[in-house]
Order: sequence, then C-alpha cells, then structure tokens
Amino acid sequence: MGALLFWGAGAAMVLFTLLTVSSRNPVYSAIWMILSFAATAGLFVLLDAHLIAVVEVLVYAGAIMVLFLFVIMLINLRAEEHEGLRLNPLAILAAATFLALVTRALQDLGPAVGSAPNALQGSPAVVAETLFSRYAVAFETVSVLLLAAILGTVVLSRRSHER
Amino acid sequence: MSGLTDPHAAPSLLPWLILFLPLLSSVLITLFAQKRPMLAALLALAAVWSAFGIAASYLPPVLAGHGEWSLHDSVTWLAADGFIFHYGYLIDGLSLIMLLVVTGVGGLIHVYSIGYLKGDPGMARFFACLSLFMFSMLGIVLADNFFQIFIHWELVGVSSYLLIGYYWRKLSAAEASNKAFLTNRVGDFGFLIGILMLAFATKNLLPPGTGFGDFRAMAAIVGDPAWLATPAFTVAGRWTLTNQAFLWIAGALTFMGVMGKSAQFPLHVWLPDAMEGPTPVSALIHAATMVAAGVFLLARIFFVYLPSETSLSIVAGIGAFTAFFAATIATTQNDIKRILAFSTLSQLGYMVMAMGLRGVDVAMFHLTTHAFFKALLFLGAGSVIHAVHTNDIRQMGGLLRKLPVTGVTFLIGTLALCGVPPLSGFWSKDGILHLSMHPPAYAHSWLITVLPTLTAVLTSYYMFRLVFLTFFGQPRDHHAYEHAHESPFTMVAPMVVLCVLAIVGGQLVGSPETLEAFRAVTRPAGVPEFEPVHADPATIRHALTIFVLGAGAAWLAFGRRLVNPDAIAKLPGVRQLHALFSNRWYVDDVYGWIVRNVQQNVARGCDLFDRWIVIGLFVNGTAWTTRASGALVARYQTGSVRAYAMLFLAGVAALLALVL
Amino acid sequence: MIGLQHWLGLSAVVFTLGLCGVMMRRNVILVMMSIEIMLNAANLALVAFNKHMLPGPDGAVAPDGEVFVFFTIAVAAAEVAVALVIAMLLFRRLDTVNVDDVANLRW
Repeated sequence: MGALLFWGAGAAMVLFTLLTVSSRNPVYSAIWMILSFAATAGLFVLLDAHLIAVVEVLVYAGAIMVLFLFVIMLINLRAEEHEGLRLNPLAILAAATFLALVTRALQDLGPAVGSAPNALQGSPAVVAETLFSRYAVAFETVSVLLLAAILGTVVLSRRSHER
Repeated sequence: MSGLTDPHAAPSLLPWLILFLPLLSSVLITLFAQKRPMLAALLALAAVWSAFGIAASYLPPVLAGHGEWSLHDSVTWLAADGFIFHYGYLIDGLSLIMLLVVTGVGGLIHVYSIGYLKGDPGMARFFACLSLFMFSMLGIVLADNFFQIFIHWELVGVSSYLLIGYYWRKLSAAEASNKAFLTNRVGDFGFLIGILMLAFATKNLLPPGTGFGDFRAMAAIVGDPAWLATPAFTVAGRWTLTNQAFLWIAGALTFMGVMGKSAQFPLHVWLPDAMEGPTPVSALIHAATMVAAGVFLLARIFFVYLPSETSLSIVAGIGAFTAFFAATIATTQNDIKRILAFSTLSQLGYMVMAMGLRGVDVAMFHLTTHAFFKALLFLGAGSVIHAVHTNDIRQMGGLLRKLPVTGVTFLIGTLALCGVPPLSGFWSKDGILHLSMHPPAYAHSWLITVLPTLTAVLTSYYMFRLVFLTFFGQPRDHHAYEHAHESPFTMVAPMVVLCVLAIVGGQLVGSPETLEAFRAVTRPAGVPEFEPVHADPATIRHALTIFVLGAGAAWLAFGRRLVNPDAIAKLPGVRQLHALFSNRWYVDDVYGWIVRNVQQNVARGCDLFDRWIVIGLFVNGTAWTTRASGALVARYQTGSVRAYAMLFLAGVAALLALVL
Repeated sequence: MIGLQHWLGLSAVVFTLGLCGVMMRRNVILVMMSIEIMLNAANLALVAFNKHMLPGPDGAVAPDGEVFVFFTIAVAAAEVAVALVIAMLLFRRLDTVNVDDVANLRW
C-alpha cells in the first residue's frame, strides 16, 4: 500500500515537474507547479511529516505560487513562439552527468544505518517542541529575515519619480 | 676583556679617547661649526693634539718595554653564528710609533692648514674631513683584528676621497678623487679575500671567544711550524694545498691591499692625480700617514709573510720596481707637487722592499723619517704655491731670496731625502740600501741589488732639479716673483718644527734599542735583528757618492746651466726614454684603454642582459603572463546567467566526482 | 520495500529536472520557478533523511529534519518575494524578461 502510494505520487510529481519545465505558457507552468507541490505534500504525508505537508500546501502552493501568478499577470507574460524547453545538448549532458554522479553516490549508501524507517511523529506539537526550544534563536532570526524581505519588497517596488 | 702588562693602569678609557676625540670633533664641526671656520679649526686642533698627548703618555712604558709591552681592550661588536667580531685597541711599540707620527705630524699640518686655507669658504668642511680622516687612520693603527682594520681601511679611503675632492667643482679634482677611491677598491678586494682565506685557515685553532681575525691569536697559530705543514684543503682528492702554500697566496692577496693603499705598482695610478687636493692634504695623507698605512699593515701582519719566501719575494720585487719606476717618472715632471708625489711613491717602494727583505725595523724607521721630511717638503711646496699662485716650476726661480724660511727648510728636507749624513734620511735610507745590497738568499737579483742604488741617484737628481729651478737662478715669471712673500707664522712654524725633526730624527729614533722598543707584539720570531747604519767612512762615502752623482747632474743642467737639458732630451735614445717617463710609462693609458674597451663592453653586456632578460623576461614577462591569463579567464565572464548556471553545475559535478 | 534510496533517487530526479529548467529556459520567471522546484526536491530529501534517522535514547525520533525544512520553506518564501520584485523592476526597465538580454555584468 505504501509502495503503491509512493510510486503513484512520485510519478505524479515527476510528471508535473516535467510539464512545468517544458510548458510554453507561463501560466500553465504555474498550474503544473501547483499540482507538483500537491503531489509533494502527499509524499510528505507518506513520510509522516504532517505539519510539513500542510505548510507546503499553505506556503508553497498557496502563497508562493500565487505570488508567481500575480507577477506573471502584472508583467503580462504571454506564451511566445520561441518559448519552451529548448534542448541544449550541453545542458542535457551536464544534467545527465550530475544525475549519474548522484546515483552513484546513492548506491554507496547501501544498507546503511538509517535505512530502516522509523516512527516519525510529524505532528505540530512534536515539531513545535523542538522548534521553540533548540532552534529558538534560528526561529527568531528567520522572522527577522521575513521582515527584511517584506521591507525589501516594499522599498524596491516603489516607483520613485513616476506616479 | 683586557690584557694589560702595565701594572698601574686600570682598564683605561684613554686609548678610546685617542680614537674617538677626532670623530667627535668631526661630528661637532659638521653639526655646529659649518659657518665658523675658526671654531672648526679649534675643535680639530684640540682633538688631534689631545690624541697626541695621550699617545705620548704611553711613551715611557713602551721605551722601557723592549717590544714586549702592550695595552689591549676590546668590546664585542657582533656575535653571530660561530663568529665574534671585536672592536678594540692594541697599543704596542709599533702602534705607538705610528700614533705619534700620525697625531704629531698631523697636528702640525692642522696648524699649517689654518694659514693655508684662510679665506677659503669651505674651510670648516676641510677640518671636518680632516678629523674624520684622523679617526679612520687612528683606527687602522689601533686595530687589534682584521675585521676592524678592514673597516677603517675603507674609512680612510672615504676620507681620502672627500679630501682629494675638496675642490669638487673642479672636474679634474672630482675625477682624481674617484680614481683614488676606485683604485683602492681594487686593492681592497684582494685584501678582503686574503683576510677571509687567513680566517678560514685558522678558524679551528683559535681559542674560544677570540674575535674574528684577532692579530695576536693568529700570529701565535701561524708561527707554529707544525701548522704550516698540515694541509689546508684537498682538491678532488688529489691536489693538496698545505697551509704554507695557502699562506703565501693569502699573503699575496693581502698585499694587494698594501699595493692599493701605499700606491705600489700597478695600483699606483691614483697618487699623482691625488695632488688635486689642497697641499695640507697631500702632506698629511699622501706623504706621511695614509700611504704609510700599507707599510704599517705589513709590519703588523708580518707573521703572514715571514714563513713564505715566495710572498716575501713578491713584496720586495714590487717595492723595488715601484721605487725605480716612480723615480724615472719624477725626472720629467714640471708640477712641483707631482714631483713630490712620485718621490713619495719611490720612497714607499723602498719601505715595501725593505719589508720584503725582512727588514721590518728599518722599514718602519724610514717610514718615520720620511714622514718628517716629506711632510716638510709638501708644506714647503704649499708655501711656494701660496706665494706665486702656480704649481709649475718652469715659472718659478730665485725664490730663495723672497721666501727664505721656506727655501732653507725645503733645502734641508731635500738633503734629508737624498740621504745626506748626518740628517735623518741618511740613517734610514742607507739602512735600506745596505739591506738591498746584501739581501737574504731568496732575493738575490739585480732588481734588488742594483735598482735601489740607481733609484737613489735619480732621487738626488730630480729633487735638486726641483730645488734649482724653484729657488735658485733668475725668476722666469717676474710678475709672480714680485708679489711673492713669505708665508704667515701658522704656515712657517710647522715647517720649522718638521725641519728640526728631519735633522735629528735619525739619531732620535734610529738606535737599536729604540727600534726594538717600537716593535709589534705580533712580530714573529725569526725576523733578523736590525743592523744600524754606522757613520763609518765607507758608508758615508757611499751616501755622498750617490748624492754627488745625482745632485751634480742636476746642478750642471739646471744650476749652472753648463749642460742644456733640452738638447739632451732630443738625442735619439734619450727622446724615447723621456717620452716613456713623462707619460708615466703609459700605465694610465693602458688602464684607460681597459676601462673604455673592456669594462665598458662588459657593462654594456650586463646592461643588455638587465634590460632584456631581467626586466624584459622576468619582470615584464611576469606582468604579461598575469594579464594574459587574466584575459583568458575573463572571457568566461559573459554576463549570461545561463552560462553561469552551467558553470556552477560543472563545478559541482567536478567536486562530486572528486569526492566520490 | 521503499527504502531511503528510493526517496533520495526521486529527489535527485526532480532536482535534475529543476536544473534543466534553470539551464534551458529563457524566461526569468520560469527560471525562478525551476529554482523553487530544486528547493522542493531538497526539502523532500531532508524529510526522507529524517524519517530514516535513528531514534533517540527515549525512543522518539527528533524532528530536526522537519524543523530544517520549515526554515527552508520560510527562506524560500522570502527569497521568492524579493526576487520577483527584482524581476518586475527589470521588466519595467528593460521591457524584457529574457535572461539573455540582461548580460550587462560582463568583462
């Protein structure tokens, strides 16, 4: 059962990502990407990381992609003729090499120590307990980072002399 | 660390004062008295006479010491890896006699300079340089090791450069000072190599804590016959160089320093040109003291030369030849100072030859008497020049009437130089001539037995030519003659003092006991005892014969004009000889040719190498390479994000591949 | 059985796809989307690792991987915001969203 879900959601994720990357219309790419995130959320649930799954959908699909769509519409991005995935042999070669290397790295993993799954408790309570105790400083720092991002966005997008 | 043999003296500061008072004077003059020449003169005089006084205070123990007394102290200047360099003083008989000559004659010349340079704008600078010279020279005399003597050797060269180039606005003076310094450097190069060789050969045998090149320690080692026989080093396992052979090579190299400083052939070329300096400089440095430093060095390190007959022969041969060579040139010169300069060269040749014939005592004796009468002669020449404003003896004449004191003292000095008894020159010069006519076995050659006597005849000839043309006869330049007057007291008084010394100096210094007292503490055993000249009829006849031959010829040609010298000079054989002598045997021309054609071409080659290879290849090449490789890499900076992304990927892939 | 290798392999494939997108698309917005894909794949790998960690002494597994993912998501959000603003400004200035047209930082 778990394996089936894995293969299904995994294939879906790969498929949707492929469609995102190769789509000619940017809006279509955004939609495919949302679906890809949905598949990812499913995979997170499979991994018992419930909080992360929900955060994924909320933040990635809900906020980030919406942002992308807004920007696409704002700059009036159309589907152009020469758009799409232009197959660059050098890039394909580089990507294939990379994939090969990583696969090779994975093979060395073998029946390593942590290859048996554990009972991950991904509920918000458990995550929050670790988050606010051990990683409190990082948490605060990230909030400052978000503040900086907000400020940056506001400042950068102001039209200085044109009204 | 002091080694005293004087019972009632504590480690004394006084000898340091001898050395450093003149230096202090020089510094003070430079800092404070540049615009106040009389103050400068006072400071310099005070320094020199104080040094004389301090030196004189050591006379009683030296005279009582029979050559064994010494006073020594030193400080460690530099202690480096395995080498300790000391700076100190060694007062023994040898250094004391030199001290007295340098400070005494020097002091008289300081007094003379006040009158000679009166009104000259650079007078303060002159005294500063003179004090610097005194410091340098006294350092040579007081040095107790090779390191210190070499430093002061160079310092003396610098002082000489400054003083010869005193009238630096005159091109010939500037060139002469360069020539002096460079010629000395050539000699010093050999000197340095010789020092290093000697230090290398003895370094394992020195007692621990001894300074580098300490004279007394090295004298002790070198005097050991067992040491002489041990091999110094072996080349390629087959050729062995014993220490004795090593020693004579080192001795010959060290002698190059003597050749440079004491102007022996072939490094003599600077001395005649050095007459461009003011006359007091010529008197002090180029007659009495600096040029005598070479002779002093030979006496101080005689232990290097005694074991080896080869080096002694070299020394004697060069000395004898120089004496003859210079005398021949002097017969053709017309500049009063140049004649005296060549005369100095000739007398130095005598001293060096005497050293080579193992006559250390008689050489030092002649050094002392020569200092007296040659300084006197130079001061007299300066007085004459001061009066008639020319150096050319062809424009003088009859000056005895106008400059009586100068004339009489000059005449006495000349007689002393010609070795006429009972003046001082007779005792020392005839001592040398006697030695040359009965030389030790290794030196039996006509170069030694005949030439010196011939040279003595020539000496009388050219000196009396000078005297007759300058002081007697009719004046040839009436204008100058009318305006000539005797020199002021400050100039005349030192001349009179030196004249007295030239008369009695022989008996004063020349007794065997005195000369024995003035021996070096580093003197090796085996130097023959001094044979004093006796005033017996045979010797007196010999001396007077030489004098009459030479002076008589001069009197015939220039005194009474019974023989016409110009006509003789045009005779077939004589003409070529005259040309040879008056062109200084063309040695200067040869050197000039070498410099122009050999040295300049080598310099041009080096310049090309420097320009094309060092600068072009290495410096510019490095810059070019850097720039080119930078340009090569900069081509990847396309600005295209995608290209960058691919390069990132390539980098990550490479890292992964490396790690895996 | 689905082991760690499967998860990581999946993550690698998605990552490579995102890489291809970055290298081969001309539109700056699409490039940024591809970067997000890559980040997402990395998050997946992190959580997979967390799932296969050894339990602690009390028997529970520390959710450090999840916390890390939490942070990366936050940072990604901030980064996307600012990057999109910059892209918009670029568009306003140069009237193009083609990455090849903005090659000014070159030698």
